[in-house]
Amino acid sequence: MIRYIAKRLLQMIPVLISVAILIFTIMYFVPGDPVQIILGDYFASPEQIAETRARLGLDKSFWEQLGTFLLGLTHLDFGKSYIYGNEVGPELLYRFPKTLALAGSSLVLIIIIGIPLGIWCALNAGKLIDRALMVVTLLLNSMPSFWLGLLLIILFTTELKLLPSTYTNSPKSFIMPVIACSASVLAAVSRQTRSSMLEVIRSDYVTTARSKGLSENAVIYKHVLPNALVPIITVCGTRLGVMIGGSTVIEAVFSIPGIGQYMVNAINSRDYPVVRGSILTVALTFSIIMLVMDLIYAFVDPRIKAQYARAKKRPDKA
Amino acid sequence: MSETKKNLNENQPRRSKSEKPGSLPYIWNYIKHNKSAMAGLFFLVGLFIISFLTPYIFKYNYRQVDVFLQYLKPCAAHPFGCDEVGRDLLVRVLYGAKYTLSIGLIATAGGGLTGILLGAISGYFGGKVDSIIMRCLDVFQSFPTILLAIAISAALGPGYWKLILACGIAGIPGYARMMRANTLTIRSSEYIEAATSINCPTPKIILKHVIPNAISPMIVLLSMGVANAALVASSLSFLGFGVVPPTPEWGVLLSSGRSYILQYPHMVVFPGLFIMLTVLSFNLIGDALRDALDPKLRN
Amino acid sequence: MADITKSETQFLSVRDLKVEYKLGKDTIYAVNKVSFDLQKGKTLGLVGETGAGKTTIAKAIMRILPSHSLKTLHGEVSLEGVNVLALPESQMRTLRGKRISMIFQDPMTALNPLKTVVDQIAESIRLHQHKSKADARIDAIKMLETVGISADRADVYPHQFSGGMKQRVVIAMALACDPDLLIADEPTTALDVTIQAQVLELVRKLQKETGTSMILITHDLGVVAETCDSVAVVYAGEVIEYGTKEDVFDHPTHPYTIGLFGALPDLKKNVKRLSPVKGLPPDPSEEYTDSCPFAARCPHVSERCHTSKPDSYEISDGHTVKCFLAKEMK
Repeated sequence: MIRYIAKRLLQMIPVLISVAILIFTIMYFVPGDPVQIILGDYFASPEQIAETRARLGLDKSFWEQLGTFLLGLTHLDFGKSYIYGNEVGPELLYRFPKTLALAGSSLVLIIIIGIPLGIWCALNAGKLIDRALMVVTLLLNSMPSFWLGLLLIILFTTELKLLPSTYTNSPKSFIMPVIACSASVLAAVSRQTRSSMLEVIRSDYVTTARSKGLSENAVIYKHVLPNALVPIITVCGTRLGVMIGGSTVIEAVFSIPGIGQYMVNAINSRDYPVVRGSILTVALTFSIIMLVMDLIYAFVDPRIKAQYARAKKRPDKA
Repeated sequence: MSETKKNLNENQPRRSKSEKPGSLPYIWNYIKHNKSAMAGLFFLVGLFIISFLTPYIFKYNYRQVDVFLQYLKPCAAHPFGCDEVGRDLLVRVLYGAKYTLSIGLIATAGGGLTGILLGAISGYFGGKVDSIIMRCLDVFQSFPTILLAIAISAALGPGYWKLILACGIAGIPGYARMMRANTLTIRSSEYIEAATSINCPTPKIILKHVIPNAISPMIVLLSMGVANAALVASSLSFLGFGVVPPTPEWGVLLSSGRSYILQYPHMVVFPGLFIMLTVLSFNLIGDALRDALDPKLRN
Repeated sequence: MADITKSETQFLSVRDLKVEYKLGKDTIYAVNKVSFDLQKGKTLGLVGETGAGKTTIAKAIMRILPSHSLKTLHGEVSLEGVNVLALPESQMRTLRGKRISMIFQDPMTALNPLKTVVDQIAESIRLHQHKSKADARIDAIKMLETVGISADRADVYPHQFSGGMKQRVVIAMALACDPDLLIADEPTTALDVTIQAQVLELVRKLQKETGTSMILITHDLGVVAETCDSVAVVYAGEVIEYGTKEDVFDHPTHPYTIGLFGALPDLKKNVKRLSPVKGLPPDPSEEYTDSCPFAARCPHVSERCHTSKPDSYEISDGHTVKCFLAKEMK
């Protein structure tokens, strides 16, 4: 098992390098000249332009620039921001916790509310409250998270004057962003939990468990739920990506100084080092989360654990 | 009175074409009876049609600026109110439908087709081809779809077709992966073995046997994918990539309205509401499709 | 209907068992007033085609029918005098696994894929015998050895076992708490022939050792001949012939029973074609209140078979047949 983890971690390296190259290449072709943006509106002399160009290393060829970038990566140097001049690395380090807090809290909320809610709905399937909740989750699932964020601002900031609409140092300012970020995924996880449970409950081994005389609770929590978990984890995983991407948009809505906002602003101002650094950070985080998820699969289902133990190739994501 | 029992040979009811599971008439028959899916379908089709007919239905043009109507709250003459330069919001929202709907559909069609082909090739041929394609997809899937779309959109620049391209490309890995998994399952089926054993040419096998059988689960994925593409497109426009003002795409409307959210919330409520209803409709249709194609529910 | 024997003196007595399911808007009449008895320590064979209602009868006795589609459950199932169908669920649970247990048809799906085999056996031991985890484990391993699985394979997951071994685990699970009644639902159907013989042998051996009464559900007449003491032939949810093995095998009376025996290939005869029972199984959504369910396929059908329903007529001591022809034989 340890070997499997080590293998996955090693496999991440070429992937991340490829991501770096990919992002570098994409950014290279973004129209617009960073030099123009840095020097601003006023008339800049050709010397100034050339000098800034050379300073930023933009006069070198594509391959030279790529090489410099990759070399810098090997000692974790993401370069300096074109606009602000500061080192990208430390700035990422400062902003990362904010994004992590947003995405992390959303994930926790989804797990501690979404899954139990789904279980409860499955056990009360068909009743009025279940049908009502299904409608609610259906609506939430379709709601764009940034719109929900805006609606929350209208309700809690404008009308009720309870919560701040932009980032402050208090945890209060995180309440609305976390709700907005997690709501749609929470709804999806709830629904998946419910349908997964309902499907497993019809299995033969559940009838076997009942025929042994187990109480209904024991049947549900010891036989149904563990078997229902695998598709639920899958949904969590795929939606997690959506949520992390969505956190970028939420950061824009609530002006949270996280990595997402950093990146979006940088794209607009052609601040390439920042863009590359932020995307790489997100890619790394994402890959680690996917690995953790695969490990959770192995923990939950011994059949998957066996696959990992003897697998020569990396098993594909579902 | 005793009923004549059915003839022994006709104990099984003969199946008409619309009762053959998995076929198009069957799917349509199924969906027809699903109220929510039909509601969603009506909404989408109606919205699409109205979107093109706005100049003929409404008095106001979506571009018509009127300084006296700035920030007007919803009222009888302007059910959705007006935006920051006095344009009627109802017309703008309805007109903007064509962007979101078309972007969602075209991006998914293009991305889906490419993804399906890639997945089928990768799954069927295996080996080196499979490895290369899979590693490429790994790289593309190592960060969230929206971020990929943002990056591509930034590289291509703003614009309607560029947004479609960005959303389409960002969706390819998902379809390719699923198609590959389905192809792998089918490839080891006996009927493929049978086809190869009678010397059926490979392209024919892929086109006539692999793809038609792998496509059922893809249909559901594609319909959900349209909803997703629409969401990604609006998110991108909201952030300033993709389509830009004054195009009345819903994400753009939300972005412009955001600045005035504290005083004039109506500018934000309505465009978002329509995004939600559109995504909801696609999801309902997708759910109904999934139920229609689910082998377990056919009994 | 002829009174077979008083309910109180029998070990298991089923009277007028009726089970209906709902399927969409339709009703499925799965079991229609089934009655039979079982003496202590004996084996009853429930024979019939697929879909005749045998598994439903078994699940009804244990009351593990799927609650979401169950519409009606009527009748009386007396286990040593106590009507099991009338018990509250909490009391029923104390019976399941302990006094009545079941071996299921498909071993591939009958076991929880996420638990080791020893855990699944130990689970019912811990539940009914209130033993500690360690003690239950020891007992479970002993059970495994009884069915021929060595102790070093105890902590293995079901997917690592073959079909035959999985079925042994299911048997071990069912017999772990020494039940009084064992219901075996086609225990060998999903297995190949050589394993079938082993599993049957095992079940018979265990039954003899523990004195467990057994209901064996099968569609294989050969199995019935080897293992059963009495036979009930089930058709369209009804018992159309019932008696001791000798009665039914030597003097099959109902046209369906005769047809079943006639369909068996005879090694001594040289025939061009086998002779199955004509026609197709009946539609379970039809309620045959005024006609004989077999009328459509019966070679001896007459007008009255379509207009009225035959009762169970006793043609000899303990041998009943549900056919108008039997009425004439009395």
